[in-house]
Amino acid sequence: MQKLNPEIKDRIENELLVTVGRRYRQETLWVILLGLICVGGTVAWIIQLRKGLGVTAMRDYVSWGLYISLLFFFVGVSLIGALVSCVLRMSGAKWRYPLIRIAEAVTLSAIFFAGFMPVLDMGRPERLYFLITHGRIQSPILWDVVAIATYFIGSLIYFYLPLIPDVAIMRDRITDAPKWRKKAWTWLAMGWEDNLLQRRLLKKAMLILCIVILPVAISVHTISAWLIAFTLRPGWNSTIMGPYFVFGALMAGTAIMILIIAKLRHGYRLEHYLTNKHFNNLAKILLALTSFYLYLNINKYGVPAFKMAKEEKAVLQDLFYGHNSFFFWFTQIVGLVIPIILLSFQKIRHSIKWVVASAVMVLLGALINRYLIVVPNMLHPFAPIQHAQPGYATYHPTLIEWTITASSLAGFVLLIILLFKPFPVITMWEVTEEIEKRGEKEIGVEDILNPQTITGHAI
Amino acid sequence: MRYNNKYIVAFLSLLLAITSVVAQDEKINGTISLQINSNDSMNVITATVINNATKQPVKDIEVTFYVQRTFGLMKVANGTSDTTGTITAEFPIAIQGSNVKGYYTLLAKVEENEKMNDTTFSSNIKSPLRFPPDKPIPPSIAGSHAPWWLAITFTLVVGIVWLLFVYVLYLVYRIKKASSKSKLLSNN
Amino acid sequence: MSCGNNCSCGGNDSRRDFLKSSVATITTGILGGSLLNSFTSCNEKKEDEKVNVLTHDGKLVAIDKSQVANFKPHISEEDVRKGIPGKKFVMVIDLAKCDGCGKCTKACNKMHYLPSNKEWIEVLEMQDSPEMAPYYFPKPCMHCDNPPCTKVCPVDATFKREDGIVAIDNERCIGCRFCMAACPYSVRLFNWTEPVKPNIVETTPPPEHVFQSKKGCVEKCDFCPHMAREGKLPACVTGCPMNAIWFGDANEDAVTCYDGTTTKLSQLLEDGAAYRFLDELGTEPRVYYLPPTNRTYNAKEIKIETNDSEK
Repeated sequence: MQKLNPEIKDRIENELLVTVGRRYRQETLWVILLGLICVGGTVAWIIQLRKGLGVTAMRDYVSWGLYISLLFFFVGVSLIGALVSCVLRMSGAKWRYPLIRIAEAVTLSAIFFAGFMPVLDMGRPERLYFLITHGRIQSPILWDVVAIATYFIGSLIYFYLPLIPDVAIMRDRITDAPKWRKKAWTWLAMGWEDNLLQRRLLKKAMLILCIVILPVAISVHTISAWLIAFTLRPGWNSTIMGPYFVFGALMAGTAIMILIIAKLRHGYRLEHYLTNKHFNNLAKILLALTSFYLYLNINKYGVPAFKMAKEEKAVLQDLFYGHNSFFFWFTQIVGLVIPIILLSFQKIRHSIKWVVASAVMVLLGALINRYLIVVPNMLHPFAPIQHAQPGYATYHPTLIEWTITASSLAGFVLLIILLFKPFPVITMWEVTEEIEKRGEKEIGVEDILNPQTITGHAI
Repeated sequence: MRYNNKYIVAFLSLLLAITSVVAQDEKINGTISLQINSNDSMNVITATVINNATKQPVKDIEVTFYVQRTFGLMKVANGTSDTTGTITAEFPIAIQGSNVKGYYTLLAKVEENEKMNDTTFSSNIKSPLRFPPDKPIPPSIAGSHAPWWLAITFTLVVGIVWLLFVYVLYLVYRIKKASSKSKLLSNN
Repeated sequence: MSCGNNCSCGGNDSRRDFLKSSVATITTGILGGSLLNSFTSCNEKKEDEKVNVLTHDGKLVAIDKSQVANFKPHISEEDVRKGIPGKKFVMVIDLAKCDGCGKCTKACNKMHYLPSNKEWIEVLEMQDSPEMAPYYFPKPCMHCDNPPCTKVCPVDATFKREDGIVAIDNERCIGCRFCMAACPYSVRLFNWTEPVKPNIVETTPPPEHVFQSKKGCVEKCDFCPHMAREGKLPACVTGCPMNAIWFGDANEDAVTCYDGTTTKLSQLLEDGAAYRFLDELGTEPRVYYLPPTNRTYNAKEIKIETNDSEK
């Protein structure tokens, strides 16, 4: 292990601290745009609150629609934090270090909106506190609420722990910051002065959390899957739902991760920290997950399709060649098969552009898939739908629903951006420490030991 | 036989409650007295119709026997009185009681009779059957209260996770304690 | 009508009030008379006469007989959550008799002040396969003994009572609609918009309200517990001129239909080869169906509507 040249360490910290509080034009535009969408969504929500859920296209047969689909999507995406922080840690992948904070930010934002979606979907949101005063712990909804709350708190702590030394660096280095910021940093840094005991305690805390957070993360999404798997409906009444949701979620989370680091790499000029190696490795993970998800899909749809039991048949026909067949085959071919083929080629895995393109396809497929899990099944209950009033036996989301859905997605992205603003995106102390221990290559950073390459875009 | 009971005799409290309000000229007012004996499988009703005015038995009166149920009267037997004014009829012993005590009410009714005004008399009979017939199944997770195993598992799992969170926060507190400034402060 | 349940004497009101307090437990002859609805003569009120009345919580109290008419027991929140003591309500629907007239739905809607677009009891046209003749299928709430809906309710707003009824408390419901997703019979309805409130005064806690609709809450067939407390049949039963719907108490092993005919439940189920809708799901419905044998109507005329979502 070679001690890092203090000058280089200083440069790294300088470079990574640049993004803190700094305004980027493109980013500002995005914030404004996303903020406007959120305002629109809030207006739509107020209308929905005043007029009731009748303003949505949900009716007695399709009683869950876009909101619950989105709940499943957000809960799913939130698993990326656990994947990067726990699974990669346990598998000894050292290249994870520059990704940790990004993953936790995505998780935090996703789990926040996952907690928000059921409230949007409730008929009487003002009675939310009944869950505490009259809660029935036999109900999977209560488990879901507890699991989401637990995962949110856990993720918040996990976001905070690696932040302590970084905030201490900010406290010590940035002298010209406003007073309130300095105060906040001092408080958040918890008197960190990088002594041996503090380091040992922090490592211990992170290890414990890493072990706890994985089962919590899996439980969050498994319970969400149970919301539909615990019913007796054709198509939902299946034991595969838990793993199906969990792996679909890891896949969607990985795709989002790829998109976000691609954006950050250029937007925040982090080319030396988020490198080909990260894209290549994430692409490998995405390949593994998409392949496995395809395998789960074959099980989920192929097994009942072989038997064609009476009630399942109606759902499957709808998906295979009925109304939703376009979406279904889109999720299977564009969302899974094509990315699998693409990512199988080493050349493509080494091309950031292609990896990003594959991630976009996977993400689109995953989003639509959530909708396909929820809605078509509700249109094919056991008791036949007859004499339905107009609009009751179909589901075409209304403008209000689309607005709220769009603003939830916008809010999700906005919250990630906002989480990136007050802190460095890359965990400075861990990255420098690991570079000292193992060198650049294993961490996946490039050319930062060479002072000449840095000067290009530092401060 | 499950009900190998001795004779259960139930008597009747008749008079006060039930007599027709207005006596019509052509029709007589009567009283029915009931006696019920039971054997292995059947209740045997012996009913006597007596003219209120003359205190004599009345013949050729058709009497229908019902069991009172929550929403209606369940016909169980009928018969016509003979010259001694007596009717003998049978109905199964296996009639469910109406309540926890296992009683049900048997009614003897004269309805739309040419000679006699409509009359009803009743008797409470103890059913040999269990009440309620089926043991209520505990609702388990479908009920309002959580089964103990679920309550314990839930509390344990959630409790352990949150305790670990608290422990992690305690470690953060120790990080703060471990700073030299904090030591200085505590020394002072 | 030959049924003994109909009274021509004016004692109906006193009987109704009385039955509210006492669900068919009478020990004295006098009371026997008055329970047996209406057999009591109307002008027999003696001021000093005491009668024993069984209150809703199972206690015997002696009150003046003249007060029987005014005796209105208080039905508490606990009572409606527990259900009517000693009862286990059950429904039998005879598909051979149902000619699909829909009067059950109309009677139900009238009783519960439902608009025509809501149907707590829905008459479906069923055809098990193209070779088989179609039949009408009235579908109320099955009031399952293993209810998938109450299992998933997060706030105990829908619950299973000891008298077999699955009820909903619309002052508790948060509108998550998990119960609707969980119900395999699609009997639960949601109030997507503000319902039109009738001008009535409810005397019971919400789960036994006659008018149950509330914006943002779920509603469904409730087996008319407010009627059962008065010893009366649910609206759909008294609305069915075909005598196709039987309702009663499984603990008493008896069911009654529109014309008052009361029969042994076990015998009816046995003779009619009864089955339960989607019994294979293990929901243990409390509604039994008698198969459509020897139909009284021309089954060929039924037109089956296919699944609307295919439109």
